[in-house]
Amino acid sequence: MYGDLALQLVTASHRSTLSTTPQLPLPKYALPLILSICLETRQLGAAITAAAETHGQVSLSQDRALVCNLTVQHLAARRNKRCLLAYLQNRVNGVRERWWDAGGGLAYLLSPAATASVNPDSDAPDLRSALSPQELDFLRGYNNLMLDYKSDFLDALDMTAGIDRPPGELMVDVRVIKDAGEVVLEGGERVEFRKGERFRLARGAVERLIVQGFLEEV
Amino acid sequence: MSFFSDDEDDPSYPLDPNARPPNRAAGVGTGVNRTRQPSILSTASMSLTHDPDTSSSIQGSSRNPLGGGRGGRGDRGDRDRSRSSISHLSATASPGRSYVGMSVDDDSDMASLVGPGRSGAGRPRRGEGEAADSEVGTELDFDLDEDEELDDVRRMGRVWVRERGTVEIQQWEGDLIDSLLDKLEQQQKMVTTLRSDPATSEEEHFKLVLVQTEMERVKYLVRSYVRCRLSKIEKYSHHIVLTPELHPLLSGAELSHAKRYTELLHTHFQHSVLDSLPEWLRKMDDSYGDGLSMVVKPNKDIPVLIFCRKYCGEITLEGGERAELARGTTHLVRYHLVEQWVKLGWAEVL
Repeated sequence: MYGDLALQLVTASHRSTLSTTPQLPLPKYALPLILSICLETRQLGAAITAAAETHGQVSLSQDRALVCNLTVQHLAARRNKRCLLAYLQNRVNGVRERWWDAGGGLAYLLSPAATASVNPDSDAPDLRSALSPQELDFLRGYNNLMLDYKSDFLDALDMTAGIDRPPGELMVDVRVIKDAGEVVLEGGERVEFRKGERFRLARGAVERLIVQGFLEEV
Repeated sequence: MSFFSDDEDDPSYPLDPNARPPNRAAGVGTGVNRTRQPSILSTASMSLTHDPDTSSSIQGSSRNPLGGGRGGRGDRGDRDRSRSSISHLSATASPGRSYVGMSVDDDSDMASLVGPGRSGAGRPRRGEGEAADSEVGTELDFDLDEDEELDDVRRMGRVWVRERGTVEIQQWEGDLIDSLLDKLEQQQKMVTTLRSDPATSEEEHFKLVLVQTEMERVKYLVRSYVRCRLSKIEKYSHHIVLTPELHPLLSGAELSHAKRYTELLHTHFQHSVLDSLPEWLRKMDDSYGDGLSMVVKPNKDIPVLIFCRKYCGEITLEGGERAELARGTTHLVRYHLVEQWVKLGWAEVL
């Protein structure tokens, strides 16, 4: 039946919150399904062209069965396209959300460590392997776009810092949950972060480390 | 008015501040979608914070269901506190309480919803806003309120609320942002100087901490504002690029971002699937037979909760009934009916 595969693609993507919940691993790009939908659409397209050519203009207006047939095929092809784009758009939103969630750190986002910190004991694929090559290109392009955009503001504020909650306190108590080595903070002071240690530091200075999962607020 | 009285007799609901807005909204026949912000930002909203501390004040004000806009005016102090100027070294705002108030007055104002609500409307019809336009032309000489005396931070707060409350992109407040960033920079210098100055007393150090906290808050405001705009721009990027009338609303950087983002997204779609489809299916700006277009536009039909700072004339609701947007009242109407007042700043989206 026309459009069944597309329906399968869209319902799966719609039901699953995986792609838009940054805490969970992104599902793998459904390449085989997408390829078969593209194939079906191409066949539909070929069928439409062939039918229109063999019957010609005259019979198109008279042969109601043919008109009906063409309409259905046409609608099915358009629907396939729409489903494909909806699937892609949904994933793009998820990818963007993950980018913001990681504080704009592309290298960090694509490293296996990011997935491990999110979901330590599962063998879920990391983001890099879950994305299609095109999506990876998109992510890189998006990263460049945002770097350009935020460089306008960079002398005054970091656009990618979290906006989950308005800042209440200047200082924050943190516990180190992953070795981060020696880090130079804003004021020029050096701090050695070793696992299990606790610090009281200015929020602005360690915000990024909290976002990336090296530190944890107490 | 009766269903509000029923509400007031129910002893259980004031204890649960979170449950109230939906109840009331259901009462007037239109769902309030309080999470209409773009999803990237949805967890952040200050205005939706229901702090347990406020429950007592909610109880207090709920005994005055007919108070109308009074609560709104009275509680302005709470909002203002959260935006107190960073330029005052002797900031007295207590950091823990500042962000609590905004939701309280919204709720106590809901009583005035009776106007549009009881008329069974809440569902205004498209295209009838024009009737209101002509009537309110005479109201333009209404006093322009306290707009001039607002300092930058307070204006920023209003601009931020407006941006977050509306579906479409609003005018970019470039001057305001520039002046705020300048002030932040100066303030930062001053703080650094004072901190390293040994003559600074203990008390002044304490004040410095307050100033720094306030600075962080202003930064948060600017950041949230810019990101809210970005999220709208990315959502409607194709629409924005195709509509030249929208271009003046964006800053230069935003416009180029919109263009490049659209391009990036379309390249991605092309490479991923469109290239393998028949040629007549490869376009990105088709419209379907039923008028559905591939270009996503903001939906101006969604209901918004507005608070009128000034008298905004009358609007005609879907049922043909008229509702008066009197100063200091709160209404739940479709966005396109009050769009102009929101843009002028006469009405505030809650």
